[in-house]
Parts: sequence; C-alpha cells; structure tokens
Amino acid sequence: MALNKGYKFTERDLAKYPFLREAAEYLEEMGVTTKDFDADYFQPVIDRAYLRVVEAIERGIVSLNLDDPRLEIASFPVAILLVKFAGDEFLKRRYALAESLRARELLEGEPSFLIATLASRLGFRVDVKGVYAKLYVIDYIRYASRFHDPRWKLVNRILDEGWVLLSRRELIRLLSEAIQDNLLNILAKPLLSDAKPPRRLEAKLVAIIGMLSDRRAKYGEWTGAEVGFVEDALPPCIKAMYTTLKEGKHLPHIARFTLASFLLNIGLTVDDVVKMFISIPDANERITRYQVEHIAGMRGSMTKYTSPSCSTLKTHGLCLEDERCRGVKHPLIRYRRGIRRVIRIKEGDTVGGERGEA
Amino acid sequence: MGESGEKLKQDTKRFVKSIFSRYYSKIARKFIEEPTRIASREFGFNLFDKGIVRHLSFRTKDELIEYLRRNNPSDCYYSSALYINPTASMDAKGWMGAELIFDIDADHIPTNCKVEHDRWLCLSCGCEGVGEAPDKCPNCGGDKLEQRVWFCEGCLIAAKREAMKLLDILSSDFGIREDTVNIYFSGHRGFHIHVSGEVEGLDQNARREIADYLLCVGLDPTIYLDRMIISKGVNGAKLRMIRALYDFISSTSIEGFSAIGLGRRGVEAIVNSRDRILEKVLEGEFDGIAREIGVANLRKLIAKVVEYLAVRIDPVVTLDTHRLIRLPGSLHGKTGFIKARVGSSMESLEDYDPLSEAMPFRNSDEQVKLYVHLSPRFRVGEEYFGPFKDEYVYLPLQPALLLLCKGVAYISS
Repeated sequence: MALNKGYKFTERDLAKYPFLREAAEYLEEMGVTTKDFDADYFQPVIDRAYLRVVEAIERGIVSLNLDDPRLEIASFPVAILLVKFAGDEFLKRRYALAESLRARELLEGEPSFLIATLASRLGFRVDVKGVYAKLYVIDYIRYASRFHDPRWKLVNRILDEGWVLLSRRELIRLLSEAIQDNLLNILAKPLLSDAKPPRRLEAKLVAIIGMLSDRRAKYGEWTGAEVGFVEDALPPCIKAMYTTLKEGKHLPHIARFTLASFLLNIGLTVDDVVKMFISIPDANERITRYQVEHIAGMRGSMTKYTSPSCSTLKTHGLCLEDERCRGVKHPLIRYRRGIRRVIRIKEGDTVGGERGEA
Repeated sequence: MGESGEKLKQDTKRFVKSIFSRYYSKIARKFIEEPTRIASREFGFNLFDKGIVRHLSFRTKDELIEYLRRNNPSDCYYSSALYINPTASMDAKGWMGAELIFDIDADHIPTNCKVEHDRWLCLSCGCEGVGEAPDKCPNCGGDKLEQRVWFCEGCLIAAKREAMKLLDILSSDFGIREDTVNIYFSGHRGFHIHVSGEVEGLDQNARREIADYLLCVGLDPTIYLDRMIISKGVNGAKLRMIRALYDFISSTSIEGFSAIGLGRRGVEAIVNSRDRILEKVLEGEFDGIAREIGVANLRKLIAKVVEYLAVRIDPVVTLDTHRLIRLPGSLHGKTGFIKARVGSSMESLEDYDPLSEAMPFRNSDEQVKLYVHLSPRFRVGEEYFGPFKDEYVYLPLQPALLLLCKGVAYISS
C-alpha cells in the first residue's frame, strides 16, 4: 500500500475518474471558473455534461469519451450542477448510479496499483495482490451488507484478523458502491438559496426536466399502494405469525412488531390491527393500541415503520422461506406477488401447471 | 393473602428500596463506570414507584451519581448510542454512532439445569411447574402463565463459555483489539461485551453481518469446497469448522449419522473409512471429504456442526443501534447484583466469579428474616444457601436481597 502513495494520476486517469480531488485541482490549475459558462468555447463542455445526464436517464450508465480528456474532466462538475439544479431526487440517485457504473467498468481494466490507490482514496484499507485482495472487515461490511446474494454474506467469507479475502472483481464492485455514495453526498449538498442556473444551462435543464416527466408518465411511480388484506396471499412467515395470533398463542415481541407493521403497510387501520392483537393472552387494549399507533407513526417519532425485511426475519429465526420466495427480499413484495396470483386464480386463469389454493 | 399479603409486599418493597438506596448513596461511586462521552448519552431509569423515565442526560459522573442518590432507581440504563441532543425525542436526537454490544444470556443457551430451576406459575389457579411455561395451564386450561427464571452456576458457566467463544472470534477473526473491549457481568444470567472504536459507526445492516457471522446464519457450506478460497490458508473460522467436524465425526454413532439425515451409503462410507476421512478433515481437504461421502452428506454434516460453532448472542441487542443498556456499576433490580466490570481479556473472564465479585453486600454481617416461598440451592461467595420451601429463614443481606428481588420471598419483621 505504501508504494501507491507516490502515484500521480495522469490526465487520462482523471478523465476516467473525474470525481477525484485531483480532477478539481486540475481544473483550477487550468483556470476554469464559473465565468466560463457564458463563453462560446465552453459550449462543448456543457454539451458533454448534458449528455452525461441524458445517458444516465436513458441508459443508466454514462459513457466514456477519451478523445479530449479535458472535456471529459470539465464536463463532470457541470453535470453535477445540472442534476442539482434539476432538483429531482430520482435523478440524483440515477445519476450517481450511472457514474458509479461507468467507473466500475473502467476499473475492471486497471492495474492493481491504480485500483489500490483509488480504493485508499475512498477510505478502503486494502491490499490488492493479483486477482485477490484483502479488505478490512469494517470497510467490507459497510458496503457488502447492502447486497443480497449469499456469497456476499460475511459468514461465507474467509475472515482472518480483521481482513476479508475477496476477488479483485468483488473489490471493484464494493468500490463502485463507495463511489455512488460519494456522489450522492455531493448531490445532497444544497445549492446556495439564491443560486440561479447560468444562462447556457437553462435550456438543458428544461430538456432534462421534460425527459423526467415523460418517463414518469410512461412508467408511473411506485407509491406502495395499499392493497388490503388477502389471507391467501400472505407470505409464509407472516401467515405463521397471523395463525399463531388467531389461535391466541404467545408471539415474541419481534414477531408482533413484524405482523403489526406488515398489516399496517398493506392498508389495515389501527383499529383493525388492535382488534386482531387483543386476542393475545397478555394483551392489554390500552398498551396494544399505544404500540400499534406508534408503529403506524401516530406517536413518538411519528415515523411510520416499514415491516422488517427478509434478512432481518432470517436473523431472528422467523423466516419460513418457500420456493415462491425466490428472489424476494421483503415480505411485502412477496405479498404483492401473492395478490396478483390469487387474482389470476380467481379469474380461472391456470398458471403454468400450478394448482390454485384459493 | 388478602390485606396482610399486600402489607408484606409493601414491606418487602420498602426494604429492597432501602438497600438500593444504601448502595447508591454509599457504595456505588467505586463501581459506577460513566460511559465515554457521557454528555452525548441518553439515560433511562426504572424507578421503584414511578416506572420508567428516559431521555435524560448528565454532563459528568458526579451529576449522574447525584441523580442516583436522589432517585434510587431499581434499574439504570444508558444509550449505547451517542447523540447530538440526547434529551430530544428519538427522531430529533441526532445519532452519531453506537458501541457494538453483545449480550450473552443463559436464556439463549440451551442448558440442562433450566428444567431444574426455572419455574412457571399459572396466574389463574396457582398451579406451578418446572422448566419453560407451557402454552396453557394443564390444570385449569388458563393461558395467563408467568415464567420465573432462576440462574445457577451451570447457567453462568455456560454463558461464560459462550462469551469466551465470542471473545476468541472477535480477536482472531475480526482482529478487534483488547483495548476496545469491555466485558461485564450482566447482573443476572450472563455477560455483556461492549466494543468501542471504529465499529461505533456501523449501521444496522453491517451489524447484522457481524451477528449472522457469529450465529452462522446464512452459512453456505459449499464455501468450504471452493479450492481457491480454501487454499489461501487455514483461518479462524475454518479451524473451528475442522475441530467441530473432527469431534462430531469421531464421536458419532451410526444412528447419530442417520439421525441427521445422512443416507445409508454416506453412513457406510464414514464408518468404513472413518480414519481416512478424519485425516482429510484435519488437513482441511473438504473436497476430499466430499469425494468420500458425497457433497450432499458433507452439507448435512456441516449444517449439524454449525450448531456447536454458533455463538449464542442475542441478535436483537447487537442489531439495535439505539439501545438502552444497563449501566455498569448499577444494581440489577431482579437480583441486587452489580452489573460489574470483568476486564478486557479472555483471561480476566476465565478467572471471574460473578457470585463473589458482583456482590456489593457480600461482606455484610447483617441478618435478615425472610419467609421464602420457594428457592433452589444457590451460592453467594463461598457459602451455599437453600433450598428453601415455604419456611422462615435468617439469611445474610446479599442472599436475602436476591430472594426478595426475585420475588420468591417476603420480608418478615
């Protein structure tokens, strides 16, 4: 790792990874300032910046153009500015992701020392050796805990004295997460309240906002719409808790919380849920109501709780995964699928040889 | 019991309160450990008469001790989390990080002794039984059952063994340095291990990875068949797996292998060439074992030994980044024992005897007259007491306090 300290990024490196501090320093040295926005010679930079954002929206990944590294470097902060002025949360996430995917593809082709240098710049404590790398466990779980494939689970890793063994490819995957976070942090910083977009950016902004609203009209936004209670569509874990509850048996606290928050999330009212819970042996209406209202976001922190995810339920030993849970990370998703299935079965539509259970 | 029963309860509570008060006004200072950056912590207390108060904060240890002296809580808690505004409501506190905490409690460890000392009581008909409470009272069919847990040396030894396992893994696998670790006796049936430093910044998802690693949740046995990974050497987890497999394969009978679902051919292969397989186990050649007994059978073996490998922490505590945890040096309201500091090292834990060292009134020669409803035999310091059943006894203060806190005895004036 010590060897990498002396490495100086080239112009090409900065064009590939324009989020590096050196890229900003490079532009400063070149004397690029916000005054340049109004100059004609700056138009190609604005065009490339606009293209970065458009590519993010349309393709989900930003392309690489190394014909003129300076253009590539300078267009990055301008693109950031465009996204900030557009002021759209979806676009912020989409753009950060698209830039991180660009970086990820480029990193795949880099020599180990460059990967190691970039990694340590992003705060990773890492040792890259050929196709393998050793990453400090804290840095590993900070990012790998977001992935759901079992191979990323720490329990399925070689962990020795704080170091996690992983492949170079896997390290790059984690780096792109960190890059994405970095960009999101940059994009989250608010503009000055009186900041106005430079004249030359205005037309581009109008175009970007238009693209976003077209997209919304086409796909619609996921609102987590309430779908109501359909017992046959309940995922196995929730079904088991519901049955236990109906039989008036004891449910551990975490199961109660899971069930209550799940029911509230699918659109049941506080009254409905309280009625259900009152059958528990040690239930007390006043306390039950208080707790359910709390989960519903009517008390305390006023945040409405989302019911726990599959991985949380697994940790607590409440997961009862079956074959239809494949690819599902949240009981609510499984429930929505179940609803569609129940509707199909009710309509007499036979589903690929499966027998209906409705 | 009627009116006199109510009076006994009141007298008992008054007595316990007076002893706790004596602790907090005269003794506590040398045991209370203020959490680091005390002003950024939330505090919560269970008060004898007023129930739970929380969202409090103190700037110094002196302020905290003064509060304890004035309010005499039955239980004291501080937030593992650091907050910008510890007294604000939960969403306005401003989370800055939280110690990583492991709770090892006999509740989560299967021990044989619980059948002997844990009891349940039917609140409807008064019927009692041993072990874990059933769903319904076998006598009256009532479902209002109260679980009364006890602890014994067996429980504490099991918890200690589990905590040793945890400390070993934290050090050898996670590389966690001793100077960031604090081990405490919980004051009841287990141990709390607090880890500070860089781990304080981890979110719930990252903590879940640590908990799952310790509990072996989501372990995919085929990782041990990956030559590339395995050829990188024998690390802590693999070494533990090797030991556990060796112990299981060498000590299990034909019936034992069948019981975990091994097919006839797999069982025959193991029994006929046990030595050769054990040799491969010792060398960590998992693909070699798989060739001998089949991958499916190896998976079943690994799934079985994971039961011994898992460290039985309570994941709820480890995952909770806003938890209120018992304050070191305070008394446990259900025992009158101190949540006492053990040390930082495995050695310190190995030599630790909570039943001697977490007893603030151990050397008091005060004798207390009690009516004991039911108590198994137990030890405080070097001395054994009980078993008692429906009898009047004179006991030294510490064991008397235990029975009163446990609710199995009344003060008798």
